[in-house]
Amino acid sequence: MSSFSRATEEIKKRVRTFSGPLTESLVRERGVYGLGQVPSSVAPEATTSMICGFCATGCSLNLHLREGEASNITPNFDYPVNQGMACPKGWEALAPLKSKDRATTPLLRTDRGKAPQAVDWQTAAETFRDRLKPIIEEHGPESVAFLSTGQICSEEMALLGAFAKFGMGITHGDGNTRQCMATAVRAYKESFGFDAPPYTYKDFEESDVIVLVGSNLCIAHPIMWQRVLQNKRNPEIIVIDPRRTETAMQATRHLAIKPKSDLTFFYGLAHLLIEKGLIDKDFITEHCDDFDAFSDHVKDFDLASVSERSGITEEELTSMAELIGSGKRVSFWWTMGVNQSYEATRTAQSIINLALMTGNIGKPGTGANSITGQCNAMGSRLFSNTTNLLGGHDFEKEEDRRKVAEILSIPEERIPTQNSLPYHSIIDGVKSGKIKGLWIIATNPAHSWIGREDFAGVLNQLDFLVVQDMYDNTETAACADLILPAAAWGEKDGTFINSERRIGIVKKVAKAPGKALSDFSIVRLLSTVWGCGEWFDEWKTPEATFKILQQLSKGQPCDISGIDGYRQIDEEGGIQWPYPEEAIDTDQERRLFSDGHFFTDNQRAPFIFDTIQADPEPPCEDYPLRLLTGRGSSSQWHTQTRTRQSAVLQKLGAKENYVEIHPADAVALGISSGQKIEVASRRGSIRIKSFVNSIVPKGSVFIPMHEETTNQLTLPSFDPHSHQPNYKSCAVRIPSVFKDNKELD
Amino acid sequence: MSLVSTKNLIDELLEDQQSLTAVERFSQAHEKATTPVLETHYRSLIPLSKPGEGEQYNFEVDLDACSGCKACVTACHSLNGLDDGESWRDVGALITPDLTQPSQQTVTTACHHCHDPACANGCPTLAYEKDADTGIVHHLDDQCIGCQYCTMTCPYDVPKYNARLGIVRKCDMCQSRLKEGEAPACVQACPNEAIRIRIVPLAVVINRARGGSTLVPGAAPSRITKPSTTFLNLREHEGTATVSADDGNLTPAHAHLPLVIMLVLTQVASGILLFDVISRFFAGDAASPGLWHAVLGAGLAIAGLIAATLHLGRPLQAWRSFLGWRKSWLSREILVFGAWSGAAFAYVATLYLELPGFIDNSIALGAATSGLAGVFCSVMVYVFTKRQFWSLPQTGTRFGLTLLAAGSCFVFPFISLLALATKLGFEFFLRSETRSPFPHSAKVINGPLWRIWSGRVILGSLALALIAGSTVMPTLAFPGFVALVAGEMLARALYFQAVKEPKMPGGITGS
Repeated sequence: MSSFSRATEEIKKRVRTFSGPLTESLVRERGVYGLGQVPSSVAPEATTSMICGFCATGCSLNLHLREGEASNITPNFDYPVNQGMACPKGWEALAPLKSKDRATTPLLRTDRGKAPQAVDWQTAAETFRDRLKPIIEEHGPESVAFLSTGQICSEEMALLGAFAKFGMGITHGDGNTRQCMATAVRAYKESFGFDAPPYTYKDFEESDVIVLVGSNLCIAHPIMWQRVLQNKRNPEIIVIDPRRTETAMQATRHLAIKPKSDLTFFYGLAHLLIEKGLIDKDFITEHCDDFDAFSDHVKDFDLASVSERSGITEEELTSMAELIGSGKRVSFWWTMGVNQSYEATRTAQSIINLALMTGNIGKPGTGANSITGQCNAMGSRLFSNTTNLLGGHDFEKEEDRRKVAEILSIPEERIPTQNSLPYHSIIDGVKSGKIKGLWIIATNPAHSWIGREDFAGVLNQLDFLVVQDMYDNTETAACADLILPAAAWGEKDGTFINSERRIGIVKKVAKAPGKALSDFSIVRLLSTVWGCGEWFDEWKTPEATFKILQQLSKGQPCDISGIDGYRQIDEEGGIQWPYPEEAIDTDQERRLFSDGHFFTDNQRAPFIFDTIQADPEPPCEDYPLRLLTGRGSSSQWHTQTRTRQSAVLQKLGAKENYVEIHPADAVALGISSGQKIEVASRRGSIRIKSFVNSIVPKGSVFIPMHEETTNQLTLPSFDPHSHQPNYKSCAVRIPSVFKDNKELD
Repeated sequence: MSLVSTKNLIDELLEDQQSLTAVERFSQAHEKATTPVLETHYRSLIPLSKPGEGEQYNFEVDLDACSGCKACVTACHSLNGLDDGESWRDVGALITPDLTQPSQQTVTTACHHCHDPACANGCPTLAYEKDADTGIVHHLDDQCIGCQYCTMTCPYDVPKYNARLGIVRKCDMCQSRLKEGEAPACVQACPNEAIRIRIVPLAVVINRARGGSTLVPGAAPSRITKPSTTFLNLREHEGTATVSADDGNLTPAHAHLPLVIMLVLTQVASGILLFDVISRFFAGDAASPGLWHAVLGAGLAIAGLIAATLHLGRPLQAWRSFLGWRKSWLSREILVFGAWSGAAFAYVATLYLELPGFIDNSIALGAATSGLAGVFCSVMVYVFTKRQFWSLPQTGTRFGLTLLAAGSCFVFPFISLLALATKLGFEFFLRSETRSPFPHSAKVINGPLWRIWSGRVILGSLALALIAGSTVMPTLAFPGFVALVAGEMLARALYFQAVKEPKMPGGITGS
């Protein structure tokens, strides 16, 4: 080595710094309590686990605590649901809490069109009372309504529903769960006698055939997909979806049925199964009703016409029937592709029928399984006091009202004797002026409501609008007269129920900003100021309330009276319902109906079916394309009020709204990827970026649901049984293609 | 309900809201754990031994298992304590915009820990270290001056500039985790076990990088850096183009304003000094433009170099930049331009002091040649990135013509006119979407950058008119020069913004 080189090496050694403050800012150290290495800057002193507040998979997250406060998250390894994994939203669950958009004080807008002013809680609660009470007194109990959510704890939903219906005495209240799960609820109630998703996630691992219908599991429920991959039985994975989704790519078979041909398709399959004798006659005879009528009904669905209507070849249909009827363990799973339709309930039931007729229910790796959307949609289905009377009871049944009144020590006549209007009828009520006061909790309908057009204008017709939310800048909050600042997930205690009926714990591990209060505390305050506080004396804390919910559940299929409080739920990794006092089977992963006994009065499951309904808005000459909507990415949640608060999640989703269009349609219209185009329906027109991709079928376009423009196009039509909106289909056209790329900047 | 008791209730609720009791109320899991509980999950996903001679660690990605959930990206962010929005892993998608074979494949990607890392090869301060034992390419954060050159040399868009810290940061394969037998964050977090760490023989890495092979369709040729990542089960579709999901994305690249100013001014100054010297040598002092001309050149040189420091995230650390001179054209550019600025001032001084001819001549020659050498280094800085839009003919033509046109403006206006007209013609050709060899760049220029392009054309035409006019009316020369330099600034902004940046597949509508 020359002396020059030696000198250079020497200088290099001296002036190249391998350490310093910048290097140290990323140093990692071994974490406590079974954690691997963690960033030293946020190394925890303790950990505690709780259920994620996004979707209904119900993953458990391990919160890293410093001075009792959460500083970081890793997925919980010990939990039977997610086994150490989480999707991006779970990893980033703390980011939405720290946002500058948080509501920190009650806000009162005295003059619409002007900015609201900060007020104290006393004023806020009194205003709530002084504005809504006179409306009820003057116009009756149907003149004020509430719209709740699947995003808050069961205890909070129950207190909210109890106060609104029994305390305030209003009749109508519904939740945003109407937008996602109402179909499954209705289908299960009619078919099984109770809203009872029968499965455990273990069934993903124990199936031989997994049929996913209208479900993009890979990005909508990534952790359930993880469970599918853990299946060691080399399963056939069949995805039934018009789009070639991420999940369709992973499937062993993708049946790209024509949009809105699903009911025909499943009736056709049922017909094939019967024709080929691939049915479980014993199970049908012993446990089902109305099979003969059903069998008659599906006779018209012959192979040729079903193949024609669905676009699936006769060979594929036959092969599919043979697979389902092979006697192997077949599990059917559906999500929004089924639920959000104009004939959704019957479609869900056509899937249930397939499970019943092949005896694929109550056994490992089987079931007709609805995958739920929101983190506590399942809690809302039992305890929100909206569609059902608390605890899965019936407002219209006197004995149910008496039971609830007794447990709650409230006068029986405070319990409404009629069911609440569904969501869309509440909105219609606002439009027609019948509903004059509205209280919206933790949901953002001004963005998400179907065919929303001038939703803000509709809200403006109200005499008084209260919005209770963790953010005061949502599209809906912008219309509110009174904004009540709510604590978020992670800032309060309570329980969620996940898709597989598992009750899990949510804990307070972060301080709510400013004067924000938990939804639980807000309702307690409102009930006190309203003057009915003494009815809720027992509902002091979320855990005390949980005990009330347990009592309410007694004797119901969802009986959870055997649970010994929050700590047991925490330590056992969640507890599935049922868990009665005399619980025998306390296995961590249980399914329903292993004895073939359903929750109907005669314990038998009826086959329910119907004629095929006409598409309310099929593509036509003027509007030749069909608009499909759905989830855009795993990092975006619904209207993005929370996920947009995380820079990492933002990075992982599309930066602007886009429309997927098939190459053949794109060529015909002269569209290339990236171009701005106009998409118009009979309701409205939006300017949007095009994304030419063959994963969407020819003749259809797809727009994700996460941007507020999408629902300017959708068609307000509803399933007649579940009243769930038909988000997945309407007719659109592309009147303009902006040739000029200048539109892009 | 009395006022007092409501107030008490509110106070009680607000107080309760702020008290955190989870630790007291619930039991601590894994109280006695001494090893990570997740270990059983990832044990098979990382190698049991260290790489031997002629081997290195690499990422192995099973694309069939990657379902696009993107947990790896957030895990990298959270488990490494990165800034808001910062992550060293990304997920994009490949699609086939084809009628018969609809397909999409999500691609998770991070640093490829290349065998021949361009980030390290281009770094002026030697802020990259390729670990001899593991092959991990890691970044020395405290050595970085924030020049961001590695963000241009890496063909995979891996190093990311952190504006808060003024440095670049990147994936280190969680080397401190691997050292303790723990899996990197992304490997731990993948629900589908799609990402693994393996040991790969260097011969394999080198062999598969031959010819025009790429990691995935649309990525840069692997021969540039010899990336170590192995992608398994890439779906290939015969006769069908597979493209990145963000293929139609026309978002312009970063403008790098200080670099635009620095490049134009150093080229203008080099040109002025060159022609100053030429005019003195060949036309004699009588025909030379006078001292102001050389002063203008020296002044612009300094202005250009000051602008360059504004580009640095940590300008006070700029002195480190000589370290990389053996490999880095950027290091050489800094050294040469540093010397040149001294020469330029010496040249002005000799003119002012009217020193003896031989000193004068040698300094003049030094100022002129060092300026040319500096501009040549500038050209090579961009050529080294292997971006086609920045190839030697492309960059050389642009930088050279800027130098000629501006440098000769006051002394040989006809040369200036010829150079500028040629350059404008060249640029018109490149923005033609049908004729340009770089259709993407042409689309970006005609699309989102159309305003800059219009300004460039107006200023260039104005400069042509004024400089032509200056041959009969000399007072037009200076405004002509200003229009020319301003036009070149816009042209240089287009040079940066219209380049197609090589990278791994992105997501829908850009990421």
